[in-house]
Amino acid sequence: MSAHVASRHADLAGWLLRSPAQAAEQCRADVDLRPLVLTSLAAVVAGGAAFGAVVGSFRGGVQILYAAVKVPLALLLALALCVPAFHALAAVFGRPWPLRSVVAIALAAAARASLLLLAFTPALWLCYDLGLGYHAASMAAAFAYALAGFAALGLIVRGLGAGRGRWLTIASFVAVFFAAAGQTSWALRPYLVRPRTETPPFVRAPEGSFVEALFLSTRSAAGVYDEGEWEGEGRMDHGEGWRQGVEP
Amino acid sequence: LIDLAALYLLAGLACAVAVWTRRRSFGSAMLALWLWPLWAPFALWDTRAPEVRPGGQRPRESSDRIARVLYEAAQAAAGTPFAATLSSQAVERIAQEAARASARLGELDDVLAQPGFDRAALLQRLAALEAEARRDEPASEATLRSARLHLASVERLLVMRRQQAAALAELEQMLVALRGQLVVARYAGSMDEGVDAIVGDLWARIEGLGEVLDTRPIDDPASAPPNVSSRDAPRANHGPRTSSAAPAPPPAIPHQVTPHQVTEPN
Repeated sequence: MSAHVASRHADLAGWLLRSPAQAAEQCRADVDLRPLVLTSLAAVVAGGAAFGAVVGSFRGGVQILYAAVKVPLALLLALALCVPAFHALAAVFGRPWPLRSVVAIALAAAARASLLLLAFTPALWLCYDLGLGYHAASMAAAFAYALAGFAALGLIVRGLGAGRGRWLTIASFVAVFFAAAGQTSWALRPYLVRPRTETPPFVRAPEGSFVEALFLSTRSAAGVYDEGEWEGEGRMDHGEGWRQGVEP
Repeated sequence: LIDLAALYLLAGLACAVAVWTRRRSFGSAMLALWLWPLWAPFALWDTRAPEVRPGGQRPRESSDRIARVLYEAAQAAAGTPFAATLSSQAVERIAQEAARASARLGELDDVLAQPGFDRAALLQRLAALEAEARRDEPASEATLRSARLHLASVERLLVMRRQQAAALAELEQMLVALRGQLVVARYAGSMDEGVDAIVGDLWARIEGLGEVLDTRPIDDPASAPPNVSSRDAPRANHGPRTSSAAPAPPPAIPHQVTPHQVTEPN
């Protein structure tokens, strides 16, 4: 890639961060979106990979590579699953836009979130390096992810524009994305692995779904442990840690 | 899950083949293979061009076309006695002026694309306000006056836009004619006085591009705002032209040119 092209992508990425309203407007206008889409894809890959690498650095070794691959993969998979639904939902709630516009808005929002994740990586890395515990480390990563999610939401809110059905559309987008991204992320876990884990798997064996895990985790957080819960070896990182308070 | 993944990849393969067939871009085809829901809509179909306003053209396109014709004209003149007529400095200056005029046109387009600058909507609003006033409803005189003033401003902008577009179109036509003359002169090997005339007109147009243009209200009587008296109508401006549509006679040619002179004005 030439320096000129790289500089153009960097400019576009900066523009995405600084001017979400204009970016959303361009997506809606469906004009010359290829550079924006390519920049967004690159931002998702770069931002997600950097963030994943830092999360993986909690254990180190091969987990850095695994997490660096899986974070952007999970995000892109979730987007690929969601955009047809976004397109249909937007049309149902009064925004019959071209598929390209909806895809571009979703990608630009994801890129904005990924750029924010990229911005968080030095701070997160520093925290991990200073000896953050396992639970605090996962909370810090989740906090960064949540903030990035709000940045993405900001662009989507602007992208949908004013008019009837705006908040219903946003709520439905969030619900669909939460379900799809949750499941893809769940399927591709683990990201954060304890240092004592000898050989971290690339992905864990399939066990239940994201919704089941959410339900069980909520009960566990409330101090309710079901019989037989968290017995599987694959869940040691979460369940046993949470129950016994074992620090890495 | 494996079945789904296989189906996903199958669809991706079809998209990748389609992208490769259409664009012959390996990177684009690879992206389409793995991320077809996100990339295929952009790789397979060109994005829609922006709407072209009546009588208008995309400013950037216009500037690009002028630059291309100019380059071709300079190419045709190279190695002939007319090379000095289109020196590199002259070509650069013409291209810069054309780009500047195109940018102005683009800015006018942006302004006129804003919701508050829709002339038809403004006319409707003004008509409604006047109807209210006739029915003794509380459409205050101040509201009416400001609505008329805003309409007048929008009409001035529309006229400016049209004149800027017309000036650019004229410039392009002149360059096309110049290119033709230069190609003929190149192959005929003879000096043609037509080139001189066109070059003279060309510089006159270049000088005129940056001038403030006539901003009289739109001359279409049918489009005049209803019940707007001449007192309220926007005042004629003082540009060099008297008609907003027809090109004005060219201003005085800055100086006479000969094929052997560097013709860029001082």
